Amino acid sequence: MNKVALNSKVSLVEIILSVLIFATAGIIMLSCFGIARFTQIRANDKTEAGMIIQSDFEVIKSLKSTVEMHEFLDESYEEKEPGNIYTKYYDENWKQGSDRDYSVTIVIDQENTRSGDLVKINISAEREKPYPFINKGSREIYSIESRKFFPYGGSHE
Amino acid sequence: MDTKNQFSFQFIFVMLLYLIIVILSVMIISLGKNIYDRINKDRNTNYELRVSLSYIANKIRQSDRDEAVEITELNGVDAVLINELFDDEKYQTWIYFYDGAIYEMFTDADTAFELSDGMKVVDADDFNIEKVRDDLYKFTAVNNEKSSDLYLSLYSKAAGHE
Amino acid sequence: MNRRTNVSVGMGGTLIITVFVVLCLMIFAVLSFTTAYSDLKLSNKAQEITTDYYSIHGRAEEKLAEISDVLYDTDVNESKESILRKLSDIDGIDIDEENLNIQYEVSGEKNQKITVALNLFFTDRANYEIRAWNLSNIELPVYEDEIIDIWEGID
Repeated sequence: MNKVALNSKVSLVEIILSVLIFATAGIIMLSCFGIARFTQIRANDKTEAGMIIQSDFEVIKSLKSTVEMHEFLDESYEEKEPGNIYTKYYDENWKQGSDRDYSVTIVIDQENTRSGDLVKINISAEREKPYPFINKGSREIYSIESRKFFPYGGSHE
Repeated sequence: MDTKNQFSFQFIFVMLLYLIIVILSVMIISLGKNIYDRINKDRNTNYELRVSLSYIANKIRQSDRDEAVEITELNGVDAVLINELFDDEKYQTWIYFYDGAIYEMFTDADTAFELSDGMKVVDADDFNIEKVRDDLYKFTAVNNEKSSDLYLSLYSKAAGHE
Repeated sequence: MNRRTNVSVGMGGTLIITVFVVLCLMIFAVLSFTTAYSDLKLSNKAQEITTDYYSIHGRAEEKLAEISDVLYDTDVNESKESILRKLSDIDGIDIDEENLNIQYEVSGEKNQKITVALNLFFTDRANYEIRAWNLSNIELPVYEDEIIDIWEGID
Protein backbone atom coordinates (compact mmCIF):
# COMPACT_ATOMS: atom_id res chain seq x y z
CA MET A 1 0.00 0.00 0.00
CA ASN A 2 1.30 3.36 -0.89
CA LYS A 3 1.23 5.98 1.78
CA VAL A 4 1.19 9.52 0.56
CA ALA A 5 2.36 12.05 3.11
CA LEU A 6 2.13 15.71 2.38
CA ASN A 7 5.29 17.57 3.23
CA SER A 8 3.21 20.31 4.79
CA LYS A 9 5.67 21.19 7.54
CA VAL A 10 8.14 22.59 5.00
CA SER A 11 5.39 24.52 3.22
CA LEU A 12 4.17 26.04 6.45
CA VAL A 13 7.65 27.17 7.46
CA GLU A 14 8.05 28.67 4.02
CA ILE A 15 4.81 30.60 4.35
CA ILE A 16 5.72 31.89 7.78
CA LEU A 17 9.10 33.01 6.47
CA SER A 18 7.43 34.76 3.54
CA VAL A 19 5.03 36.57 5.85
CA LEU A 20 7.91 37.73 8.03
CA ILE A 21 9.87 39.02 5.00
CA PHE A 22 6.77 40.70 3.66
CA ALA A 23 5.95 42.33 6.98
CA THR A 24 9.47 43.74 7.35
CA ALA A 25 9.60 45.03 3.78
CA GLY A 26 6.04 46.27 4.07
CA ILE A 27 6.86 48.57 6.98
CA ILE A 28 9.66 50.19 4.97
CA MET A 29 7.54 50.52 1.84
CA LEU A 30 4.57 51.91 3.74
CA SER A 31 6.66 54.73 5.15
CA CYS A 32 8.14 55.31 1.67
CA PHE A 33 4.66 55.64 0.20
CA GLY A 34 3.65 57.89 3.08
CA ILE A 35 6.66 60.17 2.56
CA ALA A 36 5.95 60.29 -1.19
CA ARG A 37 2.30 61.16 -0.65
CA PHE A 38 2.98 63.97 1.80
CA THR A 39 5.90 65.28 -0.25
CA GLN A 40 3.48 65.67 -3.16
CA ILE A 41 0.95 67.36 -0.89
CA ARG A 42 3.70 69.74 0.26
CA ALA A 43 4.58 70.58 -3.37
CA ASN A 44 0.89 71.23 -4.14
CA ASP A 45 0.60 73.40 -1.02
CA LYS A 46 3.56 75.53 -2.13
CA THR A 47 1.91 76.21 -5.48
CA GLU A 48 -1.50 77.06 -3.97
CA ALA A 49 -0.03 79.18 -1.19
CA GLY A 50 2.20 80.96 -3.70
CA MET A 51 -0.76 81.92 -5.88
CA ILE A 52 -2.81 83.17 -2.91
CA ILE A 53 0.06 85.19 -1.46
CA GLN A 54 1.03 86.68 -4.81
CA SER A 55 -2.58 87.58 -5.57
CA ASP A 56 -3.01 89.40 -2.25
CA PHE A 57 0.18 91.33 -2.81
CA GLU A 58 -0.76 92.22 -6.38
CA VAL A 59 -4.14 93.52 -5.19
CA ILE A 60 -2.37 95.68 -2.58
CA LYS A 61 -0.01 96.90 -5.34
CA SER A 62 -3.00 98.09 -7.34
CA LEU A 63 -4.51 100.10 -4.47
CA LYS A 64 -4.03 103.84 -4.13
CA SER A 65 -3.74 104.44 -0.39
CA THR A 66 -3.19 102.76 2.96
CA VAL A 67 -6.88 103.33 3.74
CA GLU A 68 -7.87 101.22 0.73
CA MET A 69 -5.29 98.65 1.77
CA HIS A 70 -6.71 98.31 5.27
CA GLU A 71 -10.23 98.11 3.83
CA PHE A 72 -9.16 95.30 1.54
CA LEU A 73 -7.45 93.47 4.40
CA ASP A 74 -10.44 93.89 6.71
CA GLU A 75 -12.67 92.45 3.99
CA SER A 76 -10.51 89.51 2.90
CA TYR A 77 -8.95 88.45 6.17
CA GLU A 78 -10.81 86.86 9.05
CA GLU A 79 -8.85 87.95 12.09
CA LYS A 80 -6.96 91.07 13.01
CA GLU A 81 -4.47 91.29 15.83
CA PRO A 82 -2.73 94.32 17.30
CA GLY A 83 0.29 95.37 15.30
CA ASN A 84 -1.52 95.16 11.95
CA ILE A 85 -1.44 91.37 11.75
CA TYR A 86 -4.21 89.88 9.64
CA THR A 87 -4.91 86.15 9.33
CA LYS A 88 -7.22 84.05 7.19
CA TYR A 89 -7.76 80.31 7.19
CA TYR A 90 -8.16 77.64 4.54
CA ASP A 91 -9.30 74.02 4.58
CA GLU A 92 -7.32 71.10 3.16
CA ASN A 93 -8.43 71.96 -0.38
CA TRP A 94 -7.33 75.57 -0.01
CA LYS A 95 -10.84 76.93 0.14
CA GLN A 96 -11.79 79.50 2.74
CA GLY A 97 -14.32 77.92 5.05
CA SER A 98 -14.77 76.58 8.53
CA ASP A 99 -11.71 74.30 8.67
CA ARG A 100 -8.38 75.70 9.74
CA ASP A 101 -5.85 73.43 8.08
CA TYR A 102 -3.81 76.29 6.64
CA SER A 103 -3.40 79.91 7.62
CA VAL A 104 -2.22 82.93 5.63
CA THR A 105 -0.90 85.79 7.73
CA ILE A 106 -0.02 89.28 6.58
CA VAL A 107 2.00 91.66 8.74
CA ILE A 108 1.92 95.33 7.83
CA ASP A 109 4.61 97.71 9.03
CA GLN A 110 3.88 101.28 8.00
CA GLU A 111 6.62 103.90 7.74
CA ASN A 112 5.65 107.49 7.02
CA THR A 113 7.93 109.29 4.62
CA ARG A 114 7.67 112.95 3.71
CA SER A 115 5.63 112.33 0.59
CA GLY A 116 3.72 109.19 1.43
CA ASP A 117 3.60 105.87 3.26
CA LEU A 118 6.18 103.17 2.62
CA VAL A 119 4.54 99.96 3.79
CA LYS A 120 6.57 96.84 4.54
CA ILE A 121 4.45 93.78 3.85
CA ASN A 122 5.23 90.26 4.98
CA ILE A 123 2.80 87.57 3.84
CA SER A 124 3.31 83.96 4.88
CA ALA A 125 1.35 80.72 4.68
CA GLU A 126 1.56 78.03 7.32
CA ARG A 127 0.13 74.59 7.91
CA GLU A 128 -1.55 74.18 11.27
CA LYS A 129 -0.25 70.66 11.82
CA PRO A 130 3.15 69.39 10.62
CA TYR A 131 3.27 67.03 7.67
CA PRO A 132 3.12 63.35 8.79
CA PHE A 133 6.13 61.18 7.90
CA ILE A 134 8.19 64.32 7.25
CA ASN A 135 10.03 65.24 10.40
CA LYS A 136 12.28 68.05 9.26
CA GLY A 137 11.13 71.48 8.15
CA SER A 138 8.95 74.09 9.81
CA ARG A 139 5.24 74.49 9.29
CA GLU A 140 5.83 77.51 7.06
CA ILE A 141 4.95 76.76 3.46
CA TYR A 142 5.56 80.03 1.65
CA SER A 143 6.62 83.55 2.53
CA ILE A 144 7.07 86.84 0.69
CA GLU A 145 8.45 90.10 1.99
CA SER A 146 8.18 93.29 -0.01
CA ARG A 147 7.27 96.94 0.12
CA LYS A 148 4.65 99.21 -1.39
CA PHE A 149 4.84 102.99 -1.57
CA PHE A 150 1.59 104.94 -1.33
CA PRO A 151 2.23 108.59 -2.22
CA TYR A 152 -0.03 111.18 -0.64
CA GLY A 153 -2.69 112.26 -3.08
CA GLY A 154 -2.90 108.85 -4.76
CA SER A 155 -0.43 107.16 -7.07
CA HIS A 156 0.86 108.76 -10.23
CA GLU A 157 0.47 106.26 -13.07
CA MET B 1 -8.92 5.34 3.14
CA ASP B 2 -8.39 7.78 6.03
CA THR B 3 -4.91 8.56 4.79
CA LYS B 4 -6.34 9.40 1.39
CA ASN B 5 -8.92 11.79 2.91
CA GLN B 6 -6.30 13.29 5.20
CA PHE B 7 -4.10 13.88 2.20
CA SER B 8 -6.89 15.63 0.28
CA PHE B 9 -7.89 17.76 3.27
CA GLN B 10 -4.38 19.06 3.94
CA PHE B 11 -3.63 19.53 0.26
CA ILE B 12 -6.75 21.61 -0.28
CA PHE B 13 -6.02 23.84 2.70
CA VAL B 14 -2.46 24.47 1.64
CA MET B 15 -3.63 25.24 -1.86
CA LEU B 16 -6.24 27.58 -0.46
CA LEU B 17 -3.56 29.36 1.53
CA TYR B 18 -1.46 29.78 -1.58
CA LEU B 19 -4.47 31.14 -3.43
CA ILE B 20 -5.09 33.68 -0.67
CA ILE B 21 -1.44 34.71 -0.76
CA VAL B 22 -1.55 35.19 -4.55
CA ILE B 23 -4.82 37.17 -4.40
CA LEU B 24 -3.52 39.38 -1.60
CA SER B 25 -0.27 39.91 -3.51
CA VAL B 26 -2.16 41.04 -6.60
CA MET B 27 -4.31 43.36 -4.47
CA ILE B 28 -1.29 44.88 -2.77
CA ILE B 29 0.49 45.45 -6.09
CA SER B 30 -2.69 47.10 -7.41
CA LEU B 31 -2.78 49.32 -4.34
CA GLY B 32 0.82 50.35 -4.85
CA LYS B 33 0.12 51.07 -8.51
CA ASN B 34 -2.92 53.18 -7.60
CA ILE B 35 -0.92 55.20 -5.08
CA TYR B 36 1.75 55.85 -7.72
CA ASP B 37 -0.92 56.79 -10.28
CA ARG B 38 -2.48 59.27 -7.87
CA ILE B 39 0.85 60.88 -7.03
CA ASN B 40 1.67 61.14 -10.74
CA LYS B 41 -1.72 62.70 -11.51
CA ASP B 42 -1.27 65.22 -8.68
CA ARG B 43 2.20 66.09 -9.96
CA ASN B 44 0.87 66.69 -13.48
CA THR B 45 -1.96 68.88 -12.20
CA ASN B 46 0.38 70.85 -9.95
CA TYR B 47 2.89 71.29 -12.77
CA GLU B 48 0.32 72.53 -15.29
CA LEU B 49 -1.33 74.96 -12.86
CA ARG B 50 2.01 76.32 -11.68
CA VAL B 51 3.52 76.64 -15.15
CA SER B 52 0.48 78.27 -16.75
CA LEU B 53 0.08 80.94 -14.07
CA SER B 54 3.84 81.53 -13.66
CA TYR B 55 4.19 81.88 -17.42
CA ILE B 56 1.46 84.52 -17.66
CA ALA B 57 2.82 86.32 -14.58
CA ASN B 58 6.30 86.55 -16.07
CA LYS B 59 4.99 87.66 -19.46
CA ILE B 60 2.95 90.46 -17.90
CA ARG B 61 5.73 91.56 -15.53
CA GLN B 62 8.19 91.68 -18.43
CA SER B 63 5.80 93.83 -20.46
CA ASP B 64 4.76 96.38 -17.84
CA ARG B 65 5.41 99.42 -20.08
CA ASP B 66 3.13 102.11 -21.48
CA GLU B 67 0.35 100.73 -23.67
CA ALA B 68 2.04 97.37 -23.94
CA VAL B 69 -0.48 95.07 -22.25
CA GLU B 70 -4.09 94.80 -23.36
CA ILE B 71 -6.89 92.31 -22.69
CA THR B 72 -8.87 91.85 -25.85
CA GLU B 73 -10.83 89.29 -27.82
CA LEU B 74 -9.35 87.06 -30.47
CA ASN B 75 -11.67 85.04 -32.69
CA GLY B 76 -14.21 84.81 -29.88
CA VAL B 77 -11.79 83.99 -27.05
CA ASP B 78 -10.27 86.29 -24.42
CA ALA B 79 -6.62 86.96 -25.04
CA VAL B 80 -3.73 88.90 -23.58
CA LEU B 81 -2.13 91.12 -26.19
CA ILE B 82 1.38 92.45 -25.65
CA ASN B 83 2.55 95.17 -28.01
CA GLU B 84 6.29 95.41 -28.60
CA LEU B 85 8.64 97.53 -30.67
CA PHE B 86 11.84 96.06 -32.14
CA ASP B 87 13.99 98.07 -34.59
CA ASP B 88 11.09 100.49 -35.17
CA GLU B 89 8.84 97.60 -36.19
CA LYS B 90 5.68 96.82 -34.25
CA TYR B 91 5.11 93.27 -33.10
CA GLN B 92 2.43 91.60 -31.05
CA THR B 93 2.41 88.62 -28.71
CA TRP B 94 -0.99 87.00 -28.24
CA ILE B 95 -1.64 84.64 -25.33
CA TYR B 96 -4.94 82.74 -25.43
CA PHE B 97 -6.67 79.49 -24.51
CA TYR B 98 -7.53 77.12 -27.35
CA ASP B 99 -8.19 73.40 -27.74
CA GLY B 100 -7.21 72.36 -24.22
CA ALA B 101 -4.02 74.40 -23.98
CA ILE B 102 -2.58 77.86 -23.53
CA TYR B 103 -1.14 79.13 -26.79
CA GLU B 104 1.26 81.94 -27.63
CA MET B 105 1.53 83.65 -30.99
CA PHE B 106 4.25 86.16 -31.88
CA THR B 107 3.43 88.07 -35.03
CA ASP B 108 3.69 91.38 -36.89
CA ALA B 109 1.24 93.98 -35.64
CA ASP B 110 -2.33 93.60 -36.96
CA THR B 111 -1.58 90.36 -38.79
CA ALA B 112 -4.52 88.00 -38.93
CA PHE B 113 -3.96 84.38 -37.95
CA GLU B 114 -5.88 81.27 -36.92
CA LEU B 115 -5.97 80.14 -33.30
CA SER B 116 -4.31 76.89 -34.29
CA ASP B 117 -1.31 78.77 -35.72
CA GLY B 118 0.00 79.59 -32.26
CA MET B 119 2.61 77.67 -30.26
CA LYS B 120 1.30 75.48 -27.45
CA VAL B 121 2.75 76.55 -24.12
CA VAL B 122 1.11 74.23 -21.60
CA ASP B 123 -1.97 71.99 -21.40
CA ALA B 124 -4.95 73.23 -19.40
CA ASP B 125 -8.61 72.27 -19.10
CA ASP B 126 -9.59 75.93 -19.00
CA PHE B 127 -7.97 79.35 -18.74
CA ASN B 128 -9.94 82.52 -18.00
CA ILE B 129 -8.90 86.12 -18.14
CA GLU B 130 -10.87 88.72 -16.23
CA LYS B 131 -10.28 92.45 -15.89
CA VAL B 132 -11.00 93.48 -12.29
CA ARG B 133 -9.89 97.10 -12.65
CA ASP B 134 -7.88 99.14 -15.14
CA ASP B 135 -4.65 98.01 -13.54
CA LEU B 136 -5.66 94.65 -12.05
CA TYR B 137 -6.33 91.38 -13.86
CA LYS B 138 -7.42 87.95 -12.64
CA PHE B 139 -6.21 84.79 -14.36
CA THR B 140 -7.79 81.43 -13.60
CA ALA B 141 -6.27 78.13 -14.68
CA VAL B 142 -8.21 74.87 -14.39
CA ASN B 143 -6.71 71.38 -14.59
CA ASN B 144 -8.21 68.05 -13.52
CA GLU B 145 -11.12 69.85 -11.83
CA LYS B 146 -8.69 71.86 -9.74
CA SER B 147 -8.58 75.60 -10.29
CA SER B 148 -6.10 78.24 -9.21
CA ASP B 149 -6.42 82.04 -9.45
CA LEU B 150 -3.72 84.65 -9.79
CA TYR B 151 -4.20 88.40 -9.69
CA LEU B 152 -1.65 90.58 -11.49
CA SER B 153 -1.36 94.34 -11.40
CA LEU B 154 0.23 96.73 -13.87
CA TYR B 155 2.04 99.88 -12.84
CA SER B 156 2.27 101.43 -16.28
CA LYS B 157 -0.81 102.55 -18.20
CA ALA B 158 -2.70 99.65 -19.75
CA ALA B 159 -3.23 99.93 -23.49
CA GLY B 160 -6.31 101.72 -24.62
CA HIS B 161 -6.73 103.87 -21.51
CA GLU B 162 -5.90 107.48 -20.67
CA MET C 1 6.32 -2.89 -0.36
CA ASN C 2 5.13 0.08 1.55
CA ARG C 3 6.20 3.14 -0.32
CA ARG C 4 6.02 6.54 1.23
CA THR C 5 5.59 9.28 -1.30
CA ASN C 6 6.41 12.71 -0.20
CA VAL C 7 4.48 15.38 -1.97
CA SER C 8 5.84 18.84 -1.63
CA VAL C 9 3.46 21.43 -2.95
CA GLY C 10 5.31 24.21 -4.86
CA MET C 11 8.45 24.25 -2.69
CA GLY C 12 9.82 27.80 -2.77
CA GLY C 13 6.76 29.07 -4.63
CA THR C 14 5.63 31.26 -1.76
CA LEU C 15 9.05 32.80 -1.39
CA ILE C 16 9.16 33.58 -5.10
CA ILE C 17 5.77 35.25 -4.92
CA THR C 18 6.87 37.24 -1.87
CA VAL C 19 10.08 38.38 -3.53
CA PHE C 20 8.14 39.39 -6.65
CA VAL C 21 5.58 41.35 -4.68
CA VAL C 22 8.20 43.07 -2.54
CA LEU C 23 10.17 43.98 -5.68
CA CYS C 24 7.10 45.44 -7.41
CA LEU C 25 6.11 47.46 -4.37
CA MET C 26 9.66 48.67 -3.86
CA ILE C 27 9.74 49.93 -7.46
CA PHE C 28 6.40 51.72 -7.02
CA ALA C 29 7.52 53.22 -3.72
CA VAL C 30 10.78 54.53 -5.15
CA LEU C 31 9.05 55.87 -8.28
CA SER C 32 6.41 57.61 -6.16
CA PHE C 33 9.02 59.21 -3.96
CA THR C 34 11.23 60.42 -6.83
CA THR C 35 8.20 61.81 -8.69
CA ALA C 36 6.96 63.70 -5.64
CA TYR C 37 10.42 64.91 -4.66
CA SER C 38 11.18 66.26 -8.15
CA ASP C 39 7.92 68.19 -8.09
CA LEU C 40 8.78 69.58 -4.66
CA LYS C 41 12.17 70.73 -5.96
CA LEU C 42 10.49 72.50 -8.89
CA SER C 43 8.01 74.16 -6.55
CA ASN C 44 10.89 75.31 -4.33
CA LYS C 45 12.68 76.74 -7.37
CA ALA C 46 9.56 78.65 -8.45
CA GLN C 47 9.19 79.95 -4.89
CA GLU C 48 12.79 81.22 -4.81
CA ILE C 49 12.34 83.12 -8.06
CA THR C 50 9.05 84.67 -6.94
CA THR C 51 10.50 85.64 -3.55
CA ASP C 52 13.43 87.27 -5.35
CA TYR C 53 11.06 89.19 -7.62
CA TYR C 54 9.12 90.63 -4.70
CA SER C 55 12.33 91.45 -2.86
CA ILE C 56 13.60 93.54 -5.78
CA HIS C 57 10.14 95.01 -6.23
CA GLY C 58 10.32 96.20 -2.60
CA ARG C 59 13.72 97.82 -3.18
CA ALA C 60 12.37 99.52 -6.31
CA GLU C 61 9.48 100.91 -4.24
CA GLU C 62 11.98 102.24 -1.67
CA LYS C 63 13.87 104.06 -4.41
CA LEU C 64 10.57 105.42 -5.72
CA ALA C 65 9.78 106.74 -2.23
CA GLU C 66 13.17 108.44 -2.15
CA ILE C 67 12.51 110.14 -5.51
CA SER C 68 8.99 111.08 -4.42
CA ASP C 69 10.32 112.68 -1.23
CA VAL C 70 12.75 114.84 -3.22
CA LEU C 71 9.99 115.94 -5.60
CA TYR C 72 7.60 116.59 -2.71
CA ASP C 73 10.09 118.91 -1.03
CA THR C 74 10.49 121.09 -4.12
CA ASP C 75 9.24 124.62 -4.05
CA VAL C 76 6.47 125.80 -6.39
CA ASN C 77 8.76 128.42 -7.86
CA GLU C 78 11.81 126.19 -8.07
CA SER C 79 13.46 125.81 -11.46
CA LYS C 80 13.61 122.52 -13.31
CA GLU C 81 17.39 122.58 -13.27
CA SER C 82 17.43 122.88 -9.51
CA ILE C 83 14.98 120.00 -9.14
CA LEU C 84 17.01 117.81 -11.50
CA ARG C 85 20.16 118.67 -9.55
CA LYS C 86 18.51 117.53 -6.30
CA LEU C 87 17.40 114.32 -8.00
CA SER C 88 20.90 113.61 -9.26
CA ASP C 89 22.01 113.36 -5.61
CA ILE C 90 20.03 110.11 -5.36
CA ASP C 91 22.26 107.09 -5.90
CA GLY C 92 21.63 104.68 -8.72
CA ILE C 93 19.29 106.69 -10.93
CA ASP C 94 19.82 108.00 -14.47
CA ILE C 95 18.24 111.29 -15.40
CA ASP C 96 17.46 112.34 -18.97
CA GLU C 97 17.24 116.10 -18.51
CA GLU C 98 16.07 116.77 -22.04
CA ASN C 99 13.05 114.47 -21.94
CA LEU C 100 12.57 114.75 -18.15
CA ASN C 101 12.86 111.00 -17.65
CA ILE C 102 14.28 109.11 -14.73
CA GLN C 103 15.38 105.51 -14.99
CA TYR C 104 16.79 103.10 -12.46
CA GLU C 105 17.32 99.38 -12.12
CA VAL C 106 17.16 97.09 -9.14
CA SER C 107 18.79 93.67 -9.47
CA GLY C 108 18.11 90.45 -7.65
CA GLU C 109 19.94 87.22 -7.02
CA LYS C 110 18.14 85.00 -9.52
CA ASN C 111 19.29 86.72 -12.72
CA GLN C 112 16.36 89.12 -12.73
CA LYS C 113 16.05 92.86 -12.47
CA ILE C 114 13.29 95.46 -12.51
CA THR C 115 13.78 98.52 -14.70
CA VAL C 116 11.74 101.53 -13.63
CA ALA C 117 11.15 104.47 -15.95
CA LEU C 118 9.46 107.63 -14.67
CA ASN C 119 8.24 110.70 -16.53
CA LEU C 120 8.57 113.96 -14.67
CA PHE C 121 5.88 116.57 -15.06
CA PHE C 122 5.25 119.85 -13.37
CA THR C 123 1.88 121.02 -12.12
CA ASP C 124 1.65 122.91 -8.84
CA ARG C 125 4.73 120.94 -7.84
CA ALA C 126 7.06 118.46 -9.46
CA ASN C 127 5.47 115.05 -9.95
CA TYR C 128 6.28 111.72 -11.53
CA GLU C 129 4.37 109.23 -13.62
CA ILE C 130 5.40 105.57 -13.91
CA ARG C 131 6.05 104.78 -17.55
CA ALA C 132 7.57 101.34 -17.09
CA TRP C 133 8.10 98.85 -14.28
CA ASN C 134 9.24 95.78 -16.12
CA LEU C 135 11.05 92.64 -15.21
CA SER C 136 13.93 91.35 -17.30
CA ASN C 137 16.96 89.08 -17.11
CA ILE C 138 20.27 90.51 -16.00
CA GLU C 139 22.24 88.17 -18.26
CA LEU C 140 20.74 86.79 -21.40
CA PRO C 141 21.78 83.32 -22.58
CA VAL C 142 24.49 83.34 -25.23
CA TYR C 143 23.86 81.20 -28.27
CA GLU C 144 26.94 80.24 -30.22
CA ASP C 145 26.81 80.81 -33.95
CA GLU C 146 26.55 77.53 -35.76
CA ILE C 147 27.69 77.09 -39.30
CA ILE C 148 25.66 74.32 -40.84
CA ASP C 149 26.71 72.75 -44.11
CA ILE C 150 23.71 72.82 -46.38
CA TRP C 151 23.36 70.24 -49.05
CA GLU C 152 23.47 72.07 -52.33
CA GLY C 153 21.92 69.39 -54.46
CA ILE C 154 23.25 67.13 -57.12
CA ASP C 155 25.18 68.81 -59.94
